[in-house]
Amino acid sequence: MPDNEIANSETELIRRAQAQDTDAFCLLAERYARRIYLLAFHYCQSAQDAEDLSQEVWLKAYQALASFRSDSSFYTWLRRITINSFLNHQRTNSIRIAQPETNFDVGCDETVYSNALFRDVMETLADLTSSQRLMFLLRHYEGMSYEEIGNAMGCSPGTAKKSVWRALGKLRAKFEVGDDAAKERMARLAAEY
Amino acid sequence: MHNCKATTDRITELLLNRPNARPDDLLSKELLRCAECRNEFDALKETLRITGRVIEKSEPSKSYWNGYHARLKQQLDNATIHEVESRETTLILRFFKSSIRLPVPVGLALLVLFAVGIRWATRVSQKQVVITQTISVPVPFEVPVVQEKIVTRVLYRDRVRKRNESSTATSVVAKTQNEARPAALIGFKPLDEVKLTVIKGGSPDEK
Repeated sequence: MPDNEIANSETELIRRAQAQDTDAFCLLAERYARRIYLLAFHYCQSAQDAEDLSQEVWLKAYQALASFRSDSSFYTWLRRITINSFLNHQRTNSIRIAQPETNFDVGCDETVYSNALFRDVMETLADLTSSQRLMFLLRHYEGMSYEEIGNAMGCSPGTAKKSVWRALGKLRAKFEVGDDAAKERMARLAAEY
Repeated sequence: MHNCKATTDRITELLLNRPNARPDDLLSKELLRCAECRNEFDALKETLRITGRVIEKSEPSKSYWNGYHARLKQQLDNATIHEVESRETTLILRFFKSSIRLPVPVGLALLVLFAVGIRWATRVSQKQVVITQTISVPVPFEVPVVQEKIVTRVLYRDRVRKRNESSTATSVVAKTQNEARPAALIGFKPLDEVKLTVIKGGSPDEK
């Protein structure tokens, strides 16, 4: 399907959802649910909290959909709601952040190295503060600029950049190649991915 | 002149934007010139690539998404019902809580008018009460009263008989007695027999 048609159908879905059509909204949710869920999962480090948080984002989006004016893309608008929801949860501490799930199922076809790697990444992300983690995810996973992150999180672009770099530094230190065995392991992992 | 810090900055931003990005010509020249920067580039590239892959791999299975969307649909339906209910209540609340913006002088004037109106209304009601008191006419109505009927009965004493008892004879007495006897006893004939009934047991000593 051409991009134009997708956009048109999305506009049509938004229009129907604004008229309280829940089925149309669910179709919209199906398009972006994965991205929102993964962002929530790596932010709060818990599958259950990620579901609660992402469902809350969709509910808020549904209730606020009448205010959507197509000034930005639907996903940009949705991401803003997502970030605000995350920050609200961070303030109220209603979810337990930085409690990594070590028994998360990454799939039976993955190797032992992959599972170990997964745990390493999760642990390193859990070591970060919730703000640092969110800024890193927004920069790396969502591709937002430092200005956009600063605007969304109420800080300067410099602060956002510092947080992202700090997070990256910790991750890099975790996978730092030292001896030959580690180099070999790293090379193997790189080959797998 | 090569600057490691500036090169690392450029490497980091390039890889943060696209972990699989290839360095441009200028950056390639810098990396060829400095082994340290080259190592930094490789390490950062692997770190971000692995992190990105781990993030992507965290996605739950397809069966999870079916349940996820079903739960979302249910929540949306519940929210819609709840919203309709709350909208009805807010309409009523809005009516009672609604406010109108007014300039302060107009507001004060309305307040004074309101106070004067209340004062006038209370005075009028007081006057009406007075008028109703003066106009009221007592309406007579009959109250049934139980009156005792006084019956006066004149009793005549037989003074003639007393007077004649001492001086006249028995025949005369009889004659006068007949005269003094009330009309009701005229023609009364006493019986020859006298019936006397003695009721015993009147007192415990009686036998």
